[in-house]
Amino acid sequence: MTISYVIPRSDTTDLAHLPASTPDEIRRMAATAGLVLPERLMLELIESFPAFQAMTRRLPRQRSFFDEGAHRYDIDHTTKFAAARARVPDLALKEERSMAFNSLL
Amino acid sequence: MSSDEDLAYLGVAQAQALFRARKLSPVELVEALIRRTEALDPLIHAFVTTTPELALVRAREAEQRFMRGDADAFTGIPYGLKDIIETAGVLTTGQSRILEHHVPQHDAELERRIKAAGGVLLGKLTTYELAHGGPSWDLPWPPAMNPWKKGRLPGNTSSGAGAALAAGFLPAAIGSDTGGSIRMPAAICGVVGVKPTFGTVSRRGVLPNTPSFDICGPMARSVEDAALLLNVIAEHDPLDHGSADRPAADCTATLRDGVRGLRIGWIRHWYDGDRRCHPDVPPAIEAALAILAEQGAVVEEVELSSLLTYQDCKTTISIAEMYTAYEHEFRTRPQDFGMMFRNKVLSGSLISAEDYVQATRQRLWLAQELARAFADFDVLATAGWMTVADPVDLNATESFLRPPNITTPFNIGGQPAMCLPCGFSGEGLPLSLQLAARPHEDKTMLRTAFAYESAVDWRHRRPLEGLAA
Repeated sequence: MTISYVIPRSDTTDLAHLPASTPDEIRRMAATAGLVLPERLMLELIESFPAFQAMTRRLPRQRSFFDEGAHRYDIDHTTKFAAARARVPDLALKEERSMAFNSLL
Repeated sequence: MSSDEDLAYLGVAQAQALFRARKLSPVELVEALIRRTEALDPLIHAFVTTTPELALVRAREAEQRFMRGDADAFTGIPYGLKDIIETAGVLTTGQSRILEHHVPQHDAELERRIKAAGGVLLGKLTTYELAHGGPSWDLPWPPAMNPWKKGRLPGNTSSGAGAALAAGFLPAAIGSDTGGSIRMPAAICGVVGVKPTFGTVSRRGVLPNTPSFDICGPMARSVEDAALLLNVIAEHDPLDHGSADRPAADCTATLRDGVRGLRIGWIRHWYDGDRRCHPDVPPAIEAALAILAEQGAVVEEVELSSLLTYQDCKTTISIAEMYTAYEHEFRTRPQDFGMMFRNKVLSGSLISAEDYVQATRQRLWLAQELARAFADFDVLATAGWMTVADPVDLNATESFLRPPNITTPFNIGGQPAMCLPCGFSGEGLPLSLQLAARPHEDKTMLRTAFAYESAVDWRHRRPLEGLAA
């Protein structure tokens, strides 16, 4: 029998349905980011970015800010270890707090 | 000792025993390895920079320490450093044109520790550009090749370390692991690679890839040798903001305690479900777990999120942080980066703040998933890699997003993870088992690996074809 530890994510959505940015949009985004690229490199970015954009759009959205490491600072430990040490009871507590804060938003 | 070939494959613990018995001098060992590297590295390209004069000076110092009786557990042991680790007075390029002539003034903290223990630096090892983009043929240095078979790559990105160990150029090396860059070349080259718990080893003086995930660790040809080197480099560094403020455990003390009663979670779907792996991988992993079960471990199958879920989270964070690390160079001299690096990192300039924050939230979610599994299991086990060594493809240009890595999840959670040999494919290329444990339970992971390694003889095989002229 397989034991599953996958945490259900029914409360989240993603942006995978959005269309990919056009080459002109990518050029504008690069300009906004302050990049001045030779045309050859700009064409590379136009070719590569859609794959990364699709990746970010698969990320679940609508998570609580309590899920951010910076909002779980543990004065005694490195924040990242606080995440790795979490156990099921912590998760339940966090979900309660998340729901409470989401209801305020 | 008789021949250079025997000396080439001498391990750390074996060499130390011979030094202490006065049957071998560190100078003899270093001279033999220098000869071998000069003869064979033109085929393998494992080194960016060799330091033979420096090595002989340090070897003579080590010899004196043995004569005086004040040698440490690593005194006289030759090693190499991935070329992202700074070394005072020795070129440190990151395999990037932007650092082509960079000679640091100070040693990285981990190099300072190895030097103090009496280690003998043989040189700086080939990597992918800034431990990320490659293999690249448009840089001043060629990528490393796999000693097991001509025309095959050794894995990324601590590629020189994996290749040098398999080729018998050195018995120990330091790599870095942001998404699997110690474990993958170890798996592909048939050696042992350990990603310690995040924060266990100082990153001060190590060129950044992704600070949220970066960790350096040992690579060697045996579990015991890797544990010995981890003992040398693991210590809290108050000047590294990610350093864990706790005493480092002795990873060799419990190596021989066995696995009786340990609970091992087997993650099969990562290599036989989420993605199609090489057909020789599943039977090798199952045979390895059967050996651990015979020794008294309890093995049960577990399910975690898909590799793609882990990879999306990790790569979003990674390219944003990596672009940030090299933003000035991207603004001022983007053409000086290799194409592979540009293709994989330049998009980081367009990652939005919202995407980055969402990825950090997802990271915590996935870290909790792993923590729940480790509440029930002492060790998680899966394949070290999906495939055997890839063939060289000089025309490969599309490298935006590779298929998800089976090594990445344990970078998300910060747990210790390692790869060790578990067999060979039908074509004679190494296969690998990956083990992971709870944060700061590196010793439990190493003890499990040692129990398996002691029951098999994979590590005694040596490559021939890739080293033939």
